[in-house]
Amino acid sequence: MAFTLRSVKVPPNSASLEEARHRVFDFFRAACRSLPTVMEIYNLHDVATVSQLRSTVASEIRKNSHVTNPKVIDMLLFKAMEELGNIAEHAKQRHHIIGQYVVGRQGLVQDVGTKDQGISNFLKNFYNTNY
Amino acid sequence: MLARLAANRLLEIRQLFRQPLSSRSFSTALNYHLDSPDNNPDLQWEFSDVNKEKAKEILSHYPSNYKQSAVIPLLDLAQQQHGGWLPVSAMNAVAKVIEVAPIRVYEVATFYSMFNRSKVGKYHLLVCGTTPCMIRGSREIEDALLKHLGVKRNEVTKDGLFSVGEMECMGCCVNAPMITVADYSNGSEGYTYNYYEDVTPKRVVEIVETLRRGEKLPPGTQNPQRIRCGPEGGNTTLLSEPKPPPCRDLDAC
Amino acid sequence: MGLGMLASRVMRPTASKLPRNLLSHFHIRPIVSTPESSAAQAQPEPEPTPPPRAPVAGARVHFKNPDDAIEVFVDGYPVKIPKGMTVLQACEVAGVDIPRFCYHSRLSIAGNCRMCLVEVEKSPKPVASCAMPALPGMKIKTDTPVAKKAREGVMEFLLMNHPLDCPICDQGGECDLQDQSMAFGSDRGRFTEMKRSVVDKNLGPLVKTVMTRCIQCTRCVRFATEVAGVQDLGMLGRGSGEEIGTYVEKLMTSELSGNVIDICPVGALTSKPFAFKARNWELKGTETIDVTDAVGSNIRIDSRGPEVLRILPRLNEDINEEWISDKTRFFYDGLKRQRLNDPMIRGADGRFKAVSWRDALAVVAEVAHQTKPEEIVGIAGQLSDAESMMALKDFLNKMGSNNVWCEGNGVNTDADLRSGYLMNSGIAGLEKADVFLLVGTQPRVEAAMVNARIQKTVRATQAKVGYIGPAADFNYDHQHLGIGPQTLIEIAEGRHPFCSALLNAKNPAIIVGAGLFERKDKDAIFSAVETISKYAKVVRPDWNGFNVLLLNAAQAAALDLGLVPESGKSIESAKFVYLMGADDVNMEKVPVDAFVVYQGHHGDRGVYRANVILPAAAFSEKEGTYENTEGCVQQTLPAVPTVGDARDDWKIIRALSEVAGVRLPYDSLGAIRSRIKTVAPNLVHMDEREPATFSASLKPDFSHKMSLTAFGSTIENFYMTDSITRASKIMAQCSALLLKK
Repeated sequence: MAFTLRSVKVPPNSASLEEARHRVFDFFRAACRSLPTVMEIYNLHDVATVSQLRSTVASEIRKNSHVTNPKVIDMLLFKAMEELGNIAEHAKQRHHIIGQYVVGRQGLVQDVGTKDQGISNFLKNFYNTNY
Repeated sequence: MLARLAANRLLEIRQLFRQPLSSRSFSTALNYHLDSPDNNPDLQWEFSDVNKEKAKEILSHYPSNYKQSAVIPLLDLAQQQHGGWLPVSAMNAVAKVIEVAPIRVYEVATFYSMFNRSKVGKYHLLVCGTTPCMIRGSREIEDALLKHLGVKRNEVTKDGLFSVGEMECMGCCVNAPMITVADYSNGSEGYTYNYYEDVTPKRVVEIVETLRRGEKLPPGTQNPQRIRCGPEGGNTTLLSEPKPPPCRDLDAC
Repeated sequence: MGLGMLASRVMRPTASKLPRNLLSHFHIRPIVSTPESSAAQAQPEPEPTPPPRAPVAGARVHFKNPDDAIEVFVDGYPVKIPKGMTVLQACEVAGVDIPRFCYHSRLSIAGNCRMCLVEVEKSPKPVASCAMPALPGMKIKTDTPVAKKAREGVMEFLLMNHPLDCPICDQGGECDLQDQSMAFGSDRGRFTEMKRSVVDKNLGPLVKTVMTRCIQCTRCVRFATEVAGVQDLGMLGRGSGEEIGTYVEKLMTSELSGNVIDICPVGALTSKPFAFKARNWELKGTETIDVTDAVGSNIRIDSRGPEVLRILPRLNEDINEEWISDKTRFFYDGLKRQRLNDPMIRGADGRFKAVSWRDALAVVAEVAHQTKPEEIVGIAGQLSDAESMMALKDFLNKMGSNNVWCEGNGVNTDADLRSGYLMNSGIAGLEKADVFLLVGTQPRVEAAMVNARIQKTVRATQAKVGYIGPAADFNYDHQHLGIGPQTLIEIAEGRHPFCSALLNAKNPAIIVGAGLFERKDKDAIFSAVETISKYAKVVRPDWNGFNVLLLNAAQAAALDLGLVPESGKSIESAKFVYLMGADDVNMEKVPVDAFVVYQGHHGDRGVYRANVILPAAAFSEKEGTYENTEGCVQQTLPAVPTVGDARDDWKIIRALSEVAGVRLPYDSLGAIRSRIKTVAPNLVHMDEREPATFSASLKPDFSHKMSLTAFGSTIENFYMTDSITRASKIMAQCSALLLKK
């Protein structure tokens, strides 16, 4: 843990939204550059391609596209850097990567979101678990 | 060294147990029943007509709601009728007569060593094995019997006439050693249970031979110089008239 | 037994170091000096009387007659007890737990283990407290050197022939001998001979025997004779050759045989299915109730992780005392077999295909909507809890149908009078009865615990039992009066010899089997029974001996909730059948084109005909309310998690109702219970019996003709009555033996 902390320096806050935006792009580029290595060390060739992973990274970033506060963006960026560091340092295992970035955060359930409109919390919970 | 010690010790232990296992056993060893052609619950068994009357008479000794009290005399009767032993069907018949579950009869029959649950000879010879008789040589007497008959304990001779068993004290210590002969040769009518006391290894063989010939011989002490349990060759003490008990002189006061 | 507590007291005699007990008034005392010795010291101040100790295991003193009270002194403390109590019971009231093996409060006194020796003043020898009646002014001393030495000596004798195989013994951890030898035994023995060994007996597929471990307490013999009513076991042989056995090769043919496992103080009789499965301290106990019959025996489910490992009885004086039937004890392996894991839909090829809940519910809701309301039928199974039955009824009513009932209750059941379908005298109340009339019921197979009560009563008071029905196996004296309604009519008209017994009885009890609910002439039979109860004064203000013995756990609650079908013929015209765990419905009556939904936990009979399967939780996995045959409301608690993708019954119906667009207004158990409260308020009062207000005059007189067909036996196979027991391997072994016999 200490190793990770040392390697990730907290950069100074972004002065403006523009700067934060730049940083996001920088991060995206850095992530894309590390993708071939990631494919290599986690042996992902048989489950994903670089472009798939790239679009996953992009969609992860897009998830937060509504954020406009530079401070929040900085925070998210920091977390993203940390995650990227962990992945690049092989601090994760293959199934983590597959579970989180190849199959998706929702697991194998792909059809969430659209159908659950307008149903009660009880039914939502019922579909998930008995408890 | 240690191994040899251990081996020796094991041998000792084994020897210690060989003896009790061979010599100490009850009249009928097993506490559970194993089906055999002559002893299984499917065989029919009933009291004979004469014994039915006797059973009725026995039952009349007890209150009608305590019929089960008659279990011992009835088992004894059944044993006499069946040639000295109780097959499981006989116990079932007794259970039916006294109206209890069969297991209650089995419990009693297994408790008392006088009830034989496997075949015995027509003359069942019981050697007293309790301390006074043993000191006076009951082991030799048993050995003589077994050797003469060529059987092991609780085994029946080939002709079905004799078997040898061991009993606990039968109260004849003063005439030790003694044997008992349970005579089942004539069914329950001619059943006798006689004590032969002051026996010697030679004398028991003679007794066996007399019985084999079908003759009767007087029970009691086999020492011709004793009368009942009196001392050999007549009394040596208490020869004078017994003194009257001391009484208080009533006139003196 | 509290022996662990006792053990700690003996092992650590200093009171100050001990942590305060849960009960604040429970004090642990070191050895007390007798009053005499304190008097001899001539202390100026009287010794302050220490606070009284709590009675052992909540032992209560019940004075039938205040004049009968006598006072004895236990370790110097005065206790008031009724006359006739034994010394051991007096000590229990005084809060002293006496070690014992052969003594059992529900069995006769044997007095053969000698472990309960105590010192009694002016008695030359230690006395066996279990067999000694307490006399007025008796001074009992339980922790004097004499008593301690006596126990130690007895323990040494008991351990002489007991094998040292605790590490491989299933009783380890809950063994009386183990606990008591820790507490009272010596730390070494002097026995150097060979230990005896005994041949193991075959007592069937339920009880495993290791007879070498037996200490001849004869509890099992007494249990078999007195409680189970089968005289199979006995004490054979004498002296060191003594052993427990059946003498002849015989299985213990009792439906209560599993209880010998509990009463055996050592590991001689242990559970065969549980053998070497787990240690008792690894298990999580969940106090719940049994649903295999309508008695609702109190049980404890011992589980480890997701697996039920064994079932033990809990003490409930009013229902099952401390026994349970073999079916209750050993059917648990059925909970692991034949389970339904996923929602499934039958495809065009006739095979089931696993689908998601979303799809399954959508299909069911769609079909339900396309069906005419009067063609919708819902049937609750015999293991259903009250909550799910309430939800089922509400759902079907919202769909516009009222064809909902519970299997076993028949089609034209009268659910208006609770007294018409409950055991009005209560199970414990049967002990007061002196004449029983069993009409079309065989309690031995229908409700083994009720049968045990009748057996107890017959044994204690020589109560008469008359029985009308097919020839059956009873374990007590009974008169077989007849096989069918003919005899019932004779009794009703006063022509039968048994009538005089009924008339002379102080508390006559009539027990009617719920199997008769299925008969067409049920009303006529019940009115005949009513006639009998009227002239025999079965129902009085102080005694209600009119009893209906139900068969299934769900029946009473279903009738309370009003799960009664609108018409008897609805199933023949049904197009949409919702089976909530119902397996005993005659599926041949259902039209071929009907859509059948089976919601349940086992792939049993109902599944063969089902179009959609909705997996539900079994009773061990859910919280549910059940009402037993005497109207006592009890609750199951989840012991293990649900299997696979299964859901609780009521949740499935609640979810389905929402998908179908008729959303039920409850989202939680609490909410559904408040809905139940509006329908049947007695169902929310746990562990209470709401007495049925009886009013015979309300019942209209039926003039239906009684058909003269004989009563049938309702339960063919005691061991296989519902979907769980039918899936159980152990029950299959038992019923194989039953059929062979």
